[in-house]
Amino acid sequence: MSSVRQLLIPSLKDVAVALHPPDGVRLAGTLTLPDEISALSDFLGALHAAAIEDELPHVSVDVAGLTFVNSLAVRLFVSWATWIIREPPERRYGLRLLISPDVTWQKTSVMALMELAQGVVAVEHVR
Amino acid sequence: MRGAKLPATHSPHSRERGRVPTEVAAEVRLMRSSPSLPECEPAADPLLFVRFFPDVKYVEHLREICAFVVGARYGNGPLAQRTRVVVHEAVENAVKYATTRSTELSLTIWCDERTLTISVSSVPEPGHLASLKAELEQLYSRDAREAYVEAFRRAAAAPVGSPRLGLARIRYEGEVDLSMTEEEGGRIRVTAYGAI
Repeated sequence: MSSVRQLLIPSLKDVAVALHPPDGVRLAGTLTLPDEISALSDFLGALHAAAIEDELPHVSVDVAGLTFVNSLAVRLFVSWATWIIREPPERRYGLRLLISPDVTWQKTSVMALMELAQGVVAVEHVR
Repeated sequence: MRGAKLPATHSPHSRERGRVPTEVAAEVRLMRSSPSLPECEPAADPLLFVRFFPDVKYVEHLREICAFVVGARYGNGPLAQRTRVVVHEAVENAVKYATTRSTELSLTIWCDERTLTISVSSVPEPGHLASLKAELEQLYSRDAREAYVEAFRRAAAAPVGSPRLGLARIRYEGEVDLSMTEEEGGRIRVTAYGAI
């Protein structure tokens, strides 16, 4: 059984987290509360480990419904990209972010993240 | 408006209108609109003035109040979204570094036909002023996009919690310039202003 399927999904007040195995996750809501960011960080860390365990070529993260995040939450995605970059090349996977062109933070912060993590982060626009 | 140089500081007119009773946690004043003024000069009468105590639970509400007020005047489009980012990050920073929970903070928004100005006044803990100055200098050594990507690089290399992304994000995502002025009693005012 895949490791991703066995992940425990955090139950958060402001963010809905949905897992779509084998390689998808969807986040919706707003992400600004330190406790929720911490819980989501733990979940993404587990997802990262599971993606490597399952030898996934990429993980798709639909953040189109994540309408507002603070800078601490932006750091989650910076950290995630950094975890991947720090893996040996043969263990790395691609981080495919599905974003909405109508949400400001996704246009700016995700694009900056792509620049930081070239070859690791890819972006796809969804409506 | 994304200048490469640190802009000259300016002091928006503060409209202190009496003390907030201690049992009141926050006070919001919606102000009348004001005539157009030269670029980067805030209107005499702000669009919104909020006085509040440094409690993290206010950040989200202030963000949405400000976006609502700006959206009511200019439409709920990109400017309202920029306002959300600027207000959230600036207020969150001010709350985080406030000296005590009993020291008042204030937030003021001025708008005219061309410029949006958002100002947050607070009394930060000792040492924060120097780090804020250094951060602004570093921020303005690059253009807004490069500075934000550089902030990502520094964040990626450091433990969670430092360095911060907030000011770089305000400048790039909020499409504003930033200035900081020192006021009496250890109070500082961080002002973000940009074209509408």
